[in-house]
Amino acid sequence: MNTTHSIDTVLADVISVVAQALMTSTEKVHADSRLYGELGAESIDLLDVRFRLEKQFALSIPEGAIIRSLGPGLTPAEIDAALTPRNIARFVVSMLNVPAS
Amino acid sequence: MTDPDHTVLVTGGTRGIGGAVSLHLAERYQGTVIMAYLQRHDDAMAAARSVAALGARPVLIQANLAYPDDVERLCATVREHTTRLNGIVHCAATTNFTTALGLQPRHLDAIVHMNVTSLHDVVRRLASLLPRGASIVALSSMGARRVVPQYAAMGVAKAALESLVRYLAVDMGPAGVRVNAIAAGLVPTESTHHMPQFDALVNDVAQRTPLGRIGTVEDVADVVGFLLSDKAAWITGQVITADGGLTLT
Repeated sequence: MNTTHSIDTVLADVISVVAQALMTSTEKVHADSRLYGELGAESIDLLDVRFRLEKQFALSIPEGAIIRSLGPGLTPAEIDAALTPRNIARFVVSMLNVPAS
Repeated sequence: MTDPDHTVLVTGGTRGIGGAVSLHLAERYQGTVIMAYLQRHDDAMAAARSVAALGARPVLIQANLAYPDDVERLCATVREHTTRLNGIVHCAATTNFTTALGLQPRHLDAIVHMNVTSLHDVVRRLASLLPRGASIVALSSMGARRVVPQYAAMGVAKAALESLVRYLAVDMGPAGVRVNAIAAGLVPTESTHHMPQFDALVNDVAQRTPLGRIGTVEDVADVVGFLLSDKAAWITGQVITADGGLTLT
């Protein structure tokens, strides 16, 4: 049976992953929390987020794919504004809902 | 002299210095090179093809050494492929670039874990596969003993790694297994290109290096090859500096 994933169904897991990677509580991570600016994440944390997402959702996420999913040619400030659990969940949903070839 | 039974595990074995080590071993022994890698599967496949083109047998294992479960799976997979390891070369590493005071504790933990704890875990799990004459080589850095700007986390981790090498050498000596490290100077790789002001750093290092150039991945791989070989049979617990003389100046 195929399951179509929605942002709502994965957002809680994404928040949990981000909290684990940043070694903080889920209460401090909100859907629109900016990972870099608000939560103090660095690139090394995003690497950890990516690998934790792979394990959580049984995905293979190419290097840089999360940032690229935010949009083309973004400035660092734009990336900071866009890199949130909600947008990460959108990316995860887009990967989960890709039909198997 | 080729040895089809010669088998070595190289962590970080598909890129950078680890990639050069894999090619060096492939060319020298035409045995088995077990290459553990973190990401970039396409690059890993290309590295495996290069190893195979030299007449060796490549084995690719994807594993994130930051996760104990992955280390366990890596070692279990190694055991599926061989009952004997002539060597382990630890090139896997991760870092960020910041000052000591700018370093977040969780990042220091993660970087020490990836660089140091993972080697300890791998050696602990695979020690029984290492016969007399086997050799373990860990990749260290001049940053372990000298302060390199923005290199606090890696410097601390490599210092711990060098200490682990000494303790392992004493523990494993009675079993005839040698453990050494190489402190390489600045070697351009895709990873080191992320260092702040890398191009300026390269120029500065080249000018200050007595041998008049910066090192290459092949330079380091050659030293790894020596330490893995019987020609280094009386060397253990040591950190071999391979930097063109940079740290003398």
